[in-house]
Amino acid sequence: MIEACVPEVVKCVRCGKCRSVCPTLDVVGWDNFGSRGRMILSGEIIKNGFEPNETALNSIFSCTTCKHCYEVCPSKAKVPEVMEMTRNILVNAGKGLTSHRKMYERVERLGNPYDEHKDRNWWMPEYKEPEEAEVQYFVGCTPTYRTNDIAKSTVAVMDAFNIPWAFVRDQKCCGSPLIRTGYQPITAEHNIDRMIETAEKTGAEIVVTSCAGCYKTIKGDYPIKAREFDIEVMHISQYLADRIKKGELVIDKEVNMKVTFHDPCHLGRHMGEYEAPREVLKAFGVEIVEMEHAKQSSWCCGAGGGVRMAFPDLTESIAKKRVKEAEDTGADIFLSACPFCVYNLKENSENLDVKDMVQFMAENL
Amino acid sequence: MVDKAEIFDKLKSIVGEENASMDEAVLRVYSYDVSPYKGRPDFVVRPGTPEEIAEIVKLANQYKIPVIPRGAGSGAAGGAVPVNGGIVIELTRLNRILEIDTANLQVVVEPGVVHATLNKELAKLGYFFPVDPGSTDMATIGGLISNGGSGMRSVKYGVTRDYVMQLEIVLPSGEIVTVGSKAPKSASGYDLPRLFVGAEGTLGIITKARLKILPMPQAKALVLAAFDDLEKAGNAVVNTFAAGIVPSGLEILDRSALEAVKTYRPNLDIPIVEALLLFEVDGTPAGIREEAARIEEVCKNTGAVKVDIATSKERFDELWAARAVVGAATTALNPDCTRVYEAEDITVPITNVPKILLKIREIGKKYGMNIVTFGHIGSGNLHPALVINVLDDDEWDKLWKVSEEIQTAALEMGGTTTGEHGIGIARARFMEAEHGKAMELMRVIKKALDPNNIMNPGKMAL
Ligand SMILES: Cc1cc2nc3c(=O)[nH]c(=O)nc-3n(C[C@H](O)[C@H](O)[C@H](O)COP(=O)(O)OP(=O)(O)OC[C@H]3O[C@@H](n4cnc5c(N)ncnc54)[C@H](O)[C@@H]3O)c2cc1C
Repeated sequence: MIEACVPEVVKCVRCGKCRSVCPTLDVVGWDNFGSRGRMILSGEIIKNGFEPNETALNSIFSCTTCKHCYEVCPSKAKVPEVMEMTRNILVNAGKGLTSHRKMYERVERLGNPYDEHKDRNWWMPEYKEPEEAEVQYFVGCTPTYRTNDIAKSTVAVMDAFNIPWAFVRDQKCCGSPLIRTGYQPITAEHNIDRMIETAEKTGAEIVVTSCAGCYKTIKGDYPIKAREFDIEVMHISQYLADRIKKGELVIDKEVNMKVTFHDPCHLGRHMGEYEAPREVLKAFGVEIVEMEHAKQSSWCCGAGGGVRMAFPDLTESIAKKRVKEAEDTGADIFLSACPFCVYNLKENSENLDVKDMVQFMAENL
Repeated sequence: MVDKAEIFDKLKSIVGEENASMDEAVLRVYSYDVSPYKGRPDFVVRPGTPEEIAEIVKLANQYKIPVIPRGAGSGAAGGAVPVNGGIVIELTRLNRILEIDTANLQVVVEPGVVHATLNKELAKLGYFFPVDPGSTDMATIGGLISNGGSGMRSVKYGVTRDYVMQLEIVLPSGEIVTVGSKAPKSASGYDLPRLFVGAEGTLGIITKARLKILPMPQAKALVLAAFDDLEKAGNAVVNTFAAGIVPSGLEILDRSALEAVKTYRPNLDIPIVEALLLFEVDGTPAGIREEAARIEEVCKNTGAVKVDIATSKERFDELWAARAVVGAATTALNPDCTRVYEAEDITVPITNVPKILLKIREIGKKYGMNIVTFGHIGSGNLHPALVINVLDDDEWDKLWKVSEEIQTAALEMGGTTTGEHGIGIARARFMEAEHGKAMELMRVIKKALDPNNIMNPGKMAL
């Protein structure tokens, strides 16, 4: 890992352009809590023999991996990747954060990071796998255990459009929180096996996710190709936008509302998808008013990268800033396309209603 | 032996526990700026008021320890690198725009205000602070003033020193003084604000700045002129001025830079030639049309192979954006290479620009280094980008030699090692050669203001 990390670390020329976009630096102020400082620390640790102290660990582990720095980085230094690699090196050296280790152990033990013992399908006990389906729904842990209405809404939307769907069988955590915090995605092979199995049984070769993090992980990080298995992974917004565009799904409702949309970092900057959710929302005739930071320059909600778990105060400050931006647009509702972003933003929003786009859809179909 | 713990306690009592650190991780991070130099501070503090800064400086004087002011650490000369240890004072908490007085064409800002933030606020009112560094998103006003910075539009609008009306300074003694005037012009006394412009924190710490601003021009256009010969491009610049036109920006990209841009942004419509000149003109819509047409004529008469005028906002932005990425593209292009900021700011008389461009190519060839060169030809300021594998010691050896030769050549052509980035530690070794006896004068001034040599010692060969 060190060999892979060093050439990426030295790509940073320390110009400091990332200072203007790093959500944690914005809150904390000290340079070690910004991307440039973290790159320096990573270099000190892996190249210059620095035994990381608590501040160094907190600096490295408080990056939300939002990738905003990479977006503006003239040298294209891969900060999120370097942070994940550095965290992995630290975890292997027994220096990971306790909260992250416990989360890893929960995933290992229960298949989810939330310490939930409930069955995955607790919210839909009547479910029986259909013989034929078009899409497999990978629900993800947050909609399953924390923002269940998003899972229900996703199902309601698919049903409303008569999209034949099946659950990905026996799902476990996608592994996103593991990779982001320096662990191996120990659930990846299991989930790939289950997707293949579900595809074989139902014929569904498209996997849709509710969560931007699951989407980035399954599509971007899983070694699916290596399994020589042809499966398409899509975020629900992409799947719906695609079919709306083809005229296969028709929305005949006009919703007279002003909407602002938060681009989840893992859907937007990490996977390059900005338009699909907007196209879906536009099909409802809403007016989309953009925040000061939107699309490529979307401001992180503060929850990603294991930060919400380990540094809740930091997350709260970042989320509050994002909510303020949304309020400043004068929108009637604040939508996103990621249960984890929604969960986090909602908790930090007093006046403005925060929802996932599928919830908005389910209510208005 | 000074007791560090005792000093640290005092620092904490001045700025508050959360704004002072001697944590190993923090000290390591504040050991760098953009330059290849490194130096470990003993303490880092983030004060919130000029009074706190004054207290810190007094403390430093008492213990005779160095004080290193720091803005965003985007300087490329090692100015903010604590090469002799000491207290790094980061000024980014002083980040308020205190006054915008459009009627009197001036603003008052704290030193930690980021350049882009100031211009964003001014743009809302139809005004701008014309100095425009490529580092606008990070550079602080304090750092810009202290490094004597400027930018792409200095050919028409001048440099930072032309916009500094008044400064509040914490002197090395800890006293707070205000130098300069609110009046639009003043012939009263020594020009003290200018003494602190480009002083790189060696004479005091800037805690407030009153800056001149201007109304934004109504329109802009860009003329692109392609040449198959560097000399001709140089002549076109001279002939443009001779025709009575002062463009608001005048940039040159040589073949190496154009190739870099093209690889980085393959879809960009830009010719690959020996030299491409970018002329920006601004003013009224009628005025810019006329000036652009005249520049076109001058360039054609001087042997341009192709001239284009861009007035659409998209094309204009696209071309300036391309110019802005050149330096960076050099790092992004090759997976094994990183740009090292050395010899990156030479400036020569305008007529010597073609000559130095050829010389840089010759030096590159001699050492087998691909040097990408671009810069503000209208003000003689070039930014050669030296790109090496930073994990290879032999390449570093080569880099130091190339840097030496390029900067020596600039001095021999009547130039300077720095047009806008400052001397810091990176170019200190050339100061004697460049300034001769004037160096003695600088030492006298430094000694008079800072007898204990606590303010950023080791910088500018002082
Ligand atoms: C990609 C890139 C592009 C750049 N483009 C340009 C350009 O176009 N034009 C240009 O001029 N520069 C440019 N620079 C150089 C650099 O950004 C400028 O010199 C900038 O003004 C430095 O500001 P800073 O806040 O980062 O200062 P720092 O690097 O933190 O400090 C610079 C110097 O000023 C001193 N200092 C800082 N604040 C104060 C203060 N309040 N009082 C006293 N001393 C102080 C420091 O001790 C140090 O000596 C560029 C740099 C990069 C990396």
